[in-house]
Amino acid sequence: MTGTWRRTSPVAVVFFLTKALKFLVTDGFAMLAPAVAWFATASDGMKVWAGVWFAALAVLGAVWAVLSYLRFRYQLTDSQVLVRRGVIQREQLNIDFDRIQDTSIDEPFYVRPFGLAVLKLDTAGSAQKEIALAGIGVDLANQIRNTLLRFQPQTTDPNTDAAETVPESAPVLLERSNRQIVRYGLTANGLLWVAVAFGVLAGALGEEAWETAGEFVLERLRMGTLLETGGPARGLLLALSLLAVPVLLALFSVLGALWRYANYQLTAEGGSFRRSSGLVSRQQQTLKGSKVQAAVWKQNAIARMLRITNLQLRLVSAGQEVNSSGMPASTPAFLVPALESDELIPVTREFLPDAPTERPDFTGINRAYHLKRSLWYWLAPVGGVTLGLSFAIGFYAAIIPLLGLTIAVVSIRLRSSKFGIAIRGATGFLRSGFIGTHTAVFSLRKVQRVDVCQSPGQRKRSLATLNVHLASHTITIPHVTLADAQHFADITLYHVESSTRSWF
Amino acid sequence: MTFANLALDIDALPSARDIDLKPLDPRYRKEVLTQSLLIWGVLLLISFIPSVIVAKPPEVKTRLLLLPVIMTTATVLFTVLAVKMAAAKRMALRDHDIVFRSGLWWRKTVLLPRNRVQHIELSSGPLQRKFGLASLKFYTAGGAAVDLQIDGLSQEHARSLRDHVMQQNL
Repeated sequence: MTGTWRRTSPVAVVFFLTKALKFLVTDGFAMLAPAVAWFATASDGMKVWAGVWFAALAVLGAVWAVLSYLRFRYQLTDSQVLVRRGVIQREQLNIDFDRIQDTSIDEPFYVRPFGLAVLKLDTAGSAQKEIALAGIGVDLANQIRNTLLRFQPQTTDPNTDAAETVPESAPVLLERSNRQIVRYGLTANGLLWVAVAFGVLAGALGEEAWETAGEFVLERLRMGTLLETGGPARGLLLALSLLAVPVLLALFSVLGALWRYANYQLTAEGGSFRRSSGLVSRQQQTLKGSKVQAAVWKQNAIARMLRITNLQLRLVSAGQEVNSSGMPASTPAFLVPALESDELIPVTREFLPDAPTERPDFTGINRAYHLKRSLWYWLAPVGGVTLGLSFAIGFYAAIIPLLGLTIAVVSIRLRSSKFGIAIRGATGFLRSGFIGTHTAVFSLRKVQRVDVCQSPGQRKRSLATLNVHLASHTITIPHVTLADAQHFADITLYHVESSTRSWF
Repeated sequence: MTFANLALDIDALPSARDIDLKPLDPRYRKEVLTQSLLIWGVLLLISFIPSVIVAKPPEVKTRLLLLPVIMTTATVLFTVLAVKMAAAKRMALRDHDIVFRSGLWWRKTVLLPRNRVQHIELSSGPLQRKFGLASLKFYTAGGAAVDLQIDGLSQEHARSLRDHVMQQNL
């Protein structure tokens, strides 16, 4: 293997610095929080030491960033990207072109003036092995990207990949106005639950509690001048600050969405798709259509109110050892935000050409049995709270199980009505949800494995739980009829086993 | 690219329901029995320790003998269960897939298409070797977990099964 190891631009130091900062804010947060608390409460003498500590941390980050840059080398061969990197533990990565399923070109504001970009390559391997060539020329980044996309392994079936050549001017499939991106920002999941929690909390606590808590907070803030005016103004201030939290969260979420997805444009180039977007930093994310394992229609409660659906493309997931938080391990997805209901099917069909031209009718699950099963999970918490409270407040505690069970039944009902399975042609649909819905749409031939499980109770009623394993994620639909589950499994196996096209 | 979407006669599809599933090697039950007795036997021995080391009051000593009694019950119970579960496992190799069913009360049927198998791991521990048995682990893409593990296969059967599935994949 010939070739010279190349180095990126020194601007990459800034990239590594932001990476260090990101690590500190996300992963190091738990470590940092007590330190900040300590800093806030420390006496003046100690503050000097705390300052020293923070300075040391900053220096450490800077040294790490510089070393990361100095040690980073890359080169391209005919069929591989080679990367050497690592500060303490050095490693060399060899990545075959045809293993790369997703590339993105970012132009963060700090490299843009230099005409540079960050090229990120995502393989089907683990997330830790994600490769970023930071601080290479924009032209070079585009050139590498095109090389990767045009690359044809010699051994593939001519039917599968023949269409994947990149024409010079790519047709625009879809554009999103910034208004639509704002609507997407409002559908962020965290926001929904904070809003709900706030509503419940504000109602549950009495006025007095608020006043005490408010006084405490205001005292801490030492807003002396305003407080002189007394009671009513204080209440108003409190109400406003309370309202401010969800509003601020919404604002942050919308700003985040705009930051990433403003001026959204989706283009198709042969078999590849490209998203270009970004407010300050331009981002281009490109993936090969043949690597898409599933399209997921996501519509939560807020999205449902706004009548939009977000579409997420799932690629081969990284594997479980990578994900420490126990979340479903999957690579950061390719997103098509804020689709109107008439756009959803046509856009899905761009990614999954076999998909039907209309939404399927879903076959539901046995709701009565789902209710019966799920109530068990509520029994312990409701019972425990009732018992605990009955000691504290006596007779009135009887309200708790009534209230708790009503909430349980309503939410289980909501959930059970959302489960559904459907097959149209060679495409499978699996739906779940609570208030909104989450529907995985996939080519049946891309399924990796199917499980049909039966508990004793399910066997009595001829029900089954269906597990469909895709290379991207696993979907579980409980309590469908055994016949439906077997039917789904049989048709899926037929498509998997009769297809000669590559699934990857 | 030509693409045809033929209508399927759904009722004519082969169904996983009608497969003739075969039990695993009879030696597997013996292996499970031995393994279970070995592990629980050690625990049973340990459960005697408290009553042996407590020197004085004899009535406490007798009461501590309750521990081995509980242990013995558990040994019998769990060993019977383990053997029954081993006996309940069934598998079938079809032209295009592997079907594996397990579970006494909670029954699970895994349908694994052979052209989705990424790699296969064949292993056999000391006890398994004593009984001439081996384990096969099948992996597919996505996630690092084993997709299908079949424990009670004779070594020859496991080897031929592995070679057969891998050969077809090529």
